[in-house]
Parts: sequence; structure tokens; C-alpha cells
Amino acid sequence: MKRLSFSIILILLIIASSDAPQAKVSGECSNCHTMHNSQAGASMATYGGFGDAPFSSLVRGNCLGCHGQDPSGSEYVTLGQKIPQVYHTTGETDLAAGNFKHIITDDAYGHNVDLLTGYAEDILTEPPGDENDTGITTDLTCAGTKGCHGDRATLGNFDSIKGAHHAGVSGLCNIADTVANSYRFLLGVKGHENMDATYPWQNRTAIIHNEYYGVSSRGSEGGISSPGSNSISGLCAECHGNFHGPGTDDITIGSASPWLRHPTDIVLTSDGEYASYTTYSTTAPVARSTVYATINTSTTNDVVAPGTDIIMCLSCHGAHATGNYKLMRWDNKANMSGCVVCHTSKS
Amino acid sequence: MVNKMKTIFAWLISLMFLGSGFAYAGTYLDSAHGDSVSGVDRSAVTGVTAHPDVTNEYVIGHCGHCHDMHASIGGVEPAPTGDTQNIYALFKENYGGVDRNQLCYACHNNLAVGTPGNGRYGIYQGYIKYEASSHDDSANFSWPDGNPPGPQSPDAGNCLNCHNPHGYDDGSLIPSQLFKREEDLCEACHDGSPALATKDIQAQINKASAHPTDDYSGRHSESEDMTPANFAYDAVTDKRHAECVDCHNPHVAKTGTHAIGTNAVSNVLLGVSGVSVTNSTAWIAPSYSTIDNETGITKEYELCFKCHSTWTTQPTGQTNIALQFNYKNASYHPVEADLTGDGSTALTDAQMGTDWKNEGLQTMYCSDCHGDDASLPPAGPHGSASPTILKGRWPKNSSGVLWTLGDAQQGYNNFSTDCLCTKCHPVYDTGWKNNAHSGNGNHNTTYTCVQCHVGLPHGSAHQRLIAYVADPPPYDYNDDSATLTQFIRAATPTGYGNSNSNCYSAVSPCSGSGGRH
Repeated sequence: MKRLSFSIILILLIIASSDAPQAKVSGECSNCHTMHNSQAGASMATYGGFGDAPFSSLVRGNCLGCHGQDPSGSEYVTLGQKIPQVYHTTGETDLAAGNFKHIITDDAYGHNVDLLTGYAEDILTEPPGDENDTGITTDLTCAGTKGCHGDRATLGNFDSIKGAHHAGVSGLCNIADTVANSYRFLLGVKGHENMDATYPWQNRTAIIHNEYYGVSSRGSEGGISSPGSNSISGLCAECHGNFHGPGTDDITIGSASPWLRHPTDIVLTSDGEYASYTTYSTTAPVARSTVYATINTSTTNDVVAPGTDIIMCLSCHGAHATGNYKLMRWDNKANMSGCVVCHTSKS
Repeated sequence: MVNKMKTIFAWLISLMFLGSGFAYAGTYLDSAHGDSVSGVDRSAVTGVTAHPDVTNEYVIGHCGHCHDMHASIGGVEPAPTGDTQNIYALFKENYGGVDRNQLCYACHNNLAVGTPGNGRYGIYQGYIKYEASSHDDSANFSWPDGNPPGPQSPDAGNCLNCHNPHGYDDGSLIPSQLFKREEDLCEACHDGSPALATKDIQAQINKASAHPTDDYSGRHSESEDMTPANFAYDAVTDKRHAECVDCHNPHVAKTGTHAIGTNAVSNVLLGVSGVSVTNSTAWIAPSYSTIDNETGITKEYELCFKCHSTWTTQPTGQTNIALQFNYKNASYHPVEADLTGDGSTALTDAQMGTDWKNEGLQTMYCSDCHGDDASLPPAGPHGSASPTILKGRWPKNSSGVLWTLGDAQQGYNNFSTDCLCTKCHPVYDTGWKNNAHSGNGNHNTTYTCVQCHVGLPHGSAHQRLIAYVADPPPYDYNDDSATLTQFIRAATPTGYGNSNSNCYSAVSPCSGSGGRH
């Protein structure tokens, strides 16, 4: 009887843990890999239908193939474990970085990754603010030298992210010296990933959300493949460098108020209108000057501290795609609902 | 029960989402710039690069009409105007030297008279007039006060020294997007503060007799001009007021007060509204015509008539100065017209002071008599220690006693310096300037001026500003001063005498000799 109870409990634990969201993959190898790309005398069906097999690293799909494998589905797919879906047309909500489906609505609603067949970038010829001359035109990738994830000094989606899924660190990523231990596999970026059991990978509420890392004084000047100051805004600056930079970069942003451009990696000051922004807003979130060790708790993660917390690129923009022009977090054409989260009163 | 709990839970989650994204925007969305219907709209402004991302994209009133967050639109850098990045991420430069106010002018540049819109509102009459005004020219024109804080980038002459483009709230939204309400804005500088405005108008307004600039709040409105009711007295909804902008247009006024001997509007009063008159008959109220501030008054009195005439409803006790200065009257001070008109005749040059020797051909200002008793700048009827904002004392001396012939003859009570009339009329120096005052030696030195002259010397139904017994106050001062029942001026200043029958009276002691003198 005792043995039976123990077995039942163990099985339940296994089931529960296999469903728990985590950055490190687990479960059957064949969930992701195919040795010969052949089964029953035919090619293996690829996940998502984006791109043609065989794929590098013996995987069964490319980035969108796994992370957008059911476009008509919801924000998660369970294949041994929950897999975040960054391209889906149903479900309750978009994940924190957004949903590539919005690019179908309008080219300017997202980063037009080249895997999204038929929706290549056809407006911009380079990233806006391309200080580092990335050379990116219409060939934006998910990862690698022309993307965001993985090692951006390595060409290609697969090579730049190789090994990270097996070694992935979930949650607290405050070292960020490998792809695996970087926030969302963004090499060099620190942060704390929301791995909430019910709402992982989402900026769900004022309490349940990712914690982003930012720095003050406009951060340091990174490079084409290294984020300045390990901040999330520093990552954006690898392509959009004219919109981020330290005091020596006066001609692009300015060194202090009055700014030439809206500053990022700058402290939300504790005086004037900003002092009223004290409750975390998923519409205009802030970054933190230290990576919170604990997240998804009230009285901590739902608090904004003017004078300490940081304005980041993601305070106004989504990362993958949003339902708004220029990846804005709110419909900035129609209203200023996001602006006024920080700019509580212009007086 | 389960379904009910699910519903409640769903609502709670929704509220959390809403709560995380909502914040009150303060004054901006209520301001003129932020208004969702009539607010800023860069796409409607001609002569400004209207990038397609702005044109017809941002809703009216959106921050994006003035601010480009990254000085990059559609991948085009730097700022869409083809210029360098501008501070505050503005789409056009606005600070310093030739750049000053350029963003403001991009919208507020409509030069066409009488066509509001694009920021021409009557009181603001386009940037060309503003750039010729004192406020633009003065190196001292910078918001001085820390309450509220002024513009972060001080720039003398900048519009932002008075206006906050986002609006300002001191409990409620201040009209015209100003830093302070009404006279408080002007007095922040015009209070004698060192290194600011050189004219201490506040000190004058603080005097015993002054325009009620500080007395009322909320009666002035931007759209009040040309509507008499907006200046009218009423026992319940009194609209009487005199804010700084009722007389001065801060976007147009230039340095320079009036010139002696004319009544042409002076530089400090340019660009203000007023009331002109057409006189038909003597001692009858004229017909009125309005002058909007775009047209602007050309005579100083046209400004004063806006409140001090029956164009509007005056308080009980105030008289119609438009009737009094009517140039068809038997006598009048030459405010509307010189003394060659239908009514009065001029005094001789010998009877006039230094500046008034052009016999009968000169006009004058209300502010020749009304102004600071201290005779210090600034000029203008802001306030005085003398009643009715007079530069001198009339009809009483500083002790509150009526002026007398003895004061004039003997110089008692500082007559030659204090009496208002002596500023232009040397009544007595080595002798009387006319023998009506001496009565050929029969007039007692205790006789008061108002025994013969009107208590309010704007004009009279009778010659030489004479008052009759039958005249009502204030012409018969205090209704108990006048002694004459008839007056006929002599042909010359020395032509008054018993046999000439110039003065008639039935009041003692003038009733003697049959009451004819």
C-alpha cells in the first residue's frame, strides 16, 4: 500500500514537473530531433511548416517551427513540456514579447523575421537608428548576426543558439555570459524570466511579469553583437544604436534633459509628474537597476520606485510584434494611454 | 456557483489589466493643445514637413504632433524637418537666437487678419507683430518665478515664458495655457523685481485709487471683446473688471507712451479693442462702433470708452465720459477732438502751460490727467494716491478741503504742484490769467473752484466747464456747490466784468448786484 502510494505520488510529480515551464528542454529526444529525417519511407513532418527539412542540429523544425508550430492554436503548445508560442491566432493572450501574427495585419506592427514567409520587410531598408551598420535589410532573423536571440556574433539561427535549449537557465538570469544563462537566450542580457506555473512568459499583471534589467545614465555603449551594460535596452541598441547611448553620444540623444530623443536606460526621476507612477504597469513597464531575485510577488514586483527604476525601450515597444503601429505597446496613433503612465501630468 | 466564481475571477483579472494601464494625464488632455477635437495637428499646418507618419496618423492633440520620440520617422533621420535633433525631441527648433519660437510659429503663424485658426486669436496677431513687440525684444523677458517653475530652457522672448504648451493647473486649468491667471502672470515681472521688467506697475495698482486689476478673478474671458455685456455692471452677475489684457496686448505692445499734444494711441496700447463714437448733438450720448483688437484702437480714449461709457452698463454713479468729451459740447477737454469743433473755443496760449501753446489745435489723452500722482514711470492710469486715479488733486487738496481762489493766488496747500489743473493751466502766476477768477477784485479768496466749475471737468453743457445750480452731481459737485444759473464767456480773458453780464447767480453771495456780473 505504501509502495503504491509512493508510486502514484512519484508519477504525479513526474507528470507535473514535465509540464512545468522551463527554459531547459526535457522529455523525449524525438519530440525535437529526428536522426534521419525519415519515417515510414517519407520525410518527417516538420513543425509549423516554416521552412523545409532537414534542419541543422537534427531538429524537426526551425525557430517558428517550434515556437509557432500551431498558428491556429494558442500561446502554448505542450510537447513534453510547455513551449511558448510566439505566433498564434487564438488563445487568451500574447506572450510578453508579443505575437508575430500582427505582422499579417500590418508590416509595421512587428519585426519581420524572414521565417515568416510572405511577410518580409518591405518598408524599411535598414533598422531605424542603425548606428552600428548592421547590414540588416529584409533578412532579419530570429537569432544570430542578423537577429536578436542567441550569439549575435554567429551567423544563422541554429548555430547561434546551439546548445542553449539543453542548458537553458530558467528564471533568474543575472550572469548572462552564455546563451543558455542569458535572459530569453539573448546573449549578454540580464533579467528574471517569468516562469509562473499558470502564466509563464507573459507580462500578465502588475505582479506576474518578467523583470527586465536596466541601467542608469543612458547605459554604456555596446557593440553590434554585445548589449551595452547587459541591459535589455542595450540589446535593442545593437541595431537601433542611435536611440541609446551614454553621455558622450550627445548628438544622438543628449546627455540630460532636455533630451534630443526620448532617453532609455535612464532613471525615472522621483520628482514632478513621474513621482505618481508607483504601481507597475504592463502598458508601460519599467526595468530594474538590479535583477530581482524573486518575482511574481506583490509589494515587490508590482511596485515602481521613481528615482530607482529605469525607462527602457520595452517601456514603449514590444519585442516581436504587437497589435500596434511600430510595435508600440498601445495604439499610439489613437491615444496616449501609454505616454501618460509616466507623464502623469504635463504641468 | 462555479460559473459565478469564474465570472467574478474574470472581472477581477480584467480590472487588474485596466488598473495597470490607466493613469490620469493631468492638464494636457484638457488643454487647448491636447483637446481631441481642436488640439494640435501638425498635418494641418502648411509650410511644415508633414511626414506621412504624422499626417492623418496621430489623433488630434497627440504628443506626436510636436514631439518625435526618436527624431526618426520611417527610418528617416535626423529630425523629419531635415534639421538636427532638437531638444525635447521637438520636430522643429524652438530655442535661442534665430531658432526662438520657431516651433510655436509653425502653427501660430497665420498672418491673415481676421482669420482665426492656426493660432491667430485676436490677442495674438501673428509672429511678425510679436517679434516687433517689447516682450520679444526685451532681454529681461524670462519667467522669473519658481512658483510655478518656468521653462526648463530659459530663453528671453520665448513664448514659453508665459505659456506652458501642455497647460497648467493651479486647481483648475488656467486659460490660454498660461503659467498664472490674469494679472498674476503680468505682476510676476511687473512688480519692480530687479533685472526683470523695469516698470513697477504692481506698486501703482496697490495705491488707494486704482483700476481693479487685483480685485476680481474669473470675469475676464478670451472671447469677451465686442460684447458690452461682458463689461457690464449687474447687481447679481457683475462683469466689471480691468485685467491687464483689457488694456494691453502682450503680443503687440511696444515701448513708448504718448506724446504731448495728440490723442493718437501710444505703443503700449497697440493691438487692443475699443469703442469709437459718432457724435450727433451736444451733451447727448453718441452712437458707438466697436473696434476689435485685430484692427486695434487708434485713439487712446477708444480704449477707455469700452468701460466708461454707455456702450456697456456702468455702475450707478459712474457717468458717461463719451457724452462728456463730445466735441459738440459747449465746453470739453480735447480728448476726442481739438477745440476747433462745433462746441468749445480754446483758451489763449497765455492761459496755457508750456506744452499747450498751439492754441486750440492740440488734443490730449485721458492719461494726461489720469495716472500716478508720483509722476514716476510707468505712465498710465494704473493707480494713484489721488482719488479717481488723478495725477493731481481735484476738486480737493490733500487735506480733503476744496480748492479755493486763495489757494491759487497765495499758493496755499501746494496749489501749484498738487492741483490737477495747474499741470496744464497756470491759473495764477504774477496775476490771474483771466479776470473772471478775480471778479475784478470782488471774489473772496475763500470761494471754491467748484462754485463755478464742474466737479468732473471732462466736459460741460455750458461754456468753460462751468456748472449751473440746476446741474446734477457730479457736475454740481456734491450737489451743493454750484452758484451760477447762467454763464456767457467773455470775448477775451480780461473781458469779464459787471457790465458784461457774463455770470448770473441767485445764490449768495453771487446774488448781489442783481445776480448779474
